[in-house]
Amino acid sequence: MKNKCIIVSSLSKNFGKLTVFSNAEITIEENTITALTGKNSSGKTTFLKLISGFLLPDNGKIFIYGQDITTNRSLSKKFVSFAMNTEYGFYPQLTLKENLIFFCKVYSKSIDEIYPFIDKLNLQNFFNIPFSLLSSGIKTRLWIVYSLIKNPKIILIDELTKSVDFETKQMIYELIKELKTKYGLTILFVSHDLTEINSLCDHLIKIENHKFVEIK
Amino acid sequence: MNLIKNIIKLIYSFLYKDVKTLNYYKFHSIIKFLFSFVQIVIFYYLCSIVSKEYFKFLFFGLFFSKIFFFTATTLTETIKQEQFSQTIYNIFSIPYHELTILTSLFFAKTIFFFFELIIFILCFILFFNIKLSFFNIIFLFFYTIYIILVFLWYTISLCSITVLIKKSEHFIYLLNSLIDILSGVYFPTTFLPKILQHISFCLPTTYILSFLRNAVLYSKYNLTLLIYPTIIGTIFLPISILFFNIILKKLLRDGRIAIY
Repeated sequence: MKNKCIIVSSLSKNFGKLTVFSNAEITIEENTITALTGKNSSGKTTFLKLISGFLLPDNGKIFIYGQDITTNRSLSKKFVSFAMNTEYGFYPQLTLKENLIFFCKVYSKSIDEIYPFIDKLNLQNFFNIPFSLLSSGIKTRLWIVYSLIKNPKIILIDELTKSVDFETKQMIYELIKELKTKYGLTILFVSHDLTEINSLCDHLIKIENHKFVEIK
Repeated sequence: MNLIKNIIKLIYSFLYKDVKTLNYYKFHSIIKFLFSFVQIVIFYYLCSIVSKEYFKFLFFGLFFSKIFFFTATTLTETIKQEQFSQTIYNIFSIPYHELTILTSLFFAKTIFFFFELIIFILCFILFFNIKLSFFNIIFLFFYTIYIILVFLWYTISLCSITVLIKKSEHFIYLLNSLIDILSGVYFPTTFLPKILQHISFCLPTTYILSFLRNAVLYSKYNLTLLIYPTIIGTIFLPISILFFNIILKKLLRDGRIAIY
């Protein structure tokens, strides 16, 4: 029996008249890979933002390792890393390497410590290119490496392979599996790709009618 | 102690980022300096119509205005840039309170600002015949730190207003320009209409500027002038932090933290 690392209880979230979650409940076990799926606007990214502390619920509680992050957001900042699905998020004038060095400095790390991940995702060749000039696929890889800098226990990934080629997809899948087996991380990712879901995840959660439904 | 250590670490990281960004925009920095220089030249010749003494009076007014403008707008500008580049998510993921992160960003920019101030003073000494003793320069350094600290509440409040109502630049510029005029940056407050003199009397900036001019121009250090601004700064700082936290909670509920 694995430990429960995320417990969501009676979660409700509305944006004006739009209801995203209504009394939703879910538990995610430690050291698992969980896929999150659902229709567009069903609340997948909203859920990731709630867990990472970028959004507060209207009602309900979110516990990470037994502690309520809705009242103490520093816990989610400490344990959770969020690889977003966006073209932005890093300093556009700074090169890929400078962006990584900056975040390494913030988390008191040296770039050498994350070099195995840089190497795994083949990012060295793009080190001196400004972030704004990087392709979407490279930006996705950078987001994944960035999310590992702070030694998180939980990684949230929003549509990780949306804009990457087949080869990169395989690299990312391999890394994700390694993060679970070798580093003991818990991974929660949003995906619409059934092949990806089947090959990677231990659990599958669908968001339907403002609630979580456990499929697998 | 741990908090100070963390802030120093963050300031160091943000300095690295700012140096790299500055290097990318080096041409912009030169133009910015030239723009300020041309403005001062215009002021210098305008003042020569009145008297040399007036230019000295204006110089310390402009010096104060520069510090006050920096203090008032830096946090607002910083958070705006972080929202534009969406780096605010990554910045606010750093495991410290948002205000600690923003304050560190602010202090990193303050280090650059000190270099800017040194160039500003050097220009005045070299090109505009302003005489400053070594003691005066040391005094200006510490007094600048005092001004920044005493108006931290103001920058935190403006930052909170900006993240809440967005697009508040013109409001801030208007407010700062009014404060400049009412505090006596350009001319003595006695020239203001009676009603505006009452408002000027209530502004902490008036006393800070008055102390600065008395100290550097006449070597008079009337510390009682600093009591009122220090009290205001001490009372309003915790209030502004509370205000920021309330606004932050609201934005986290609305999901508008990264939107400008």
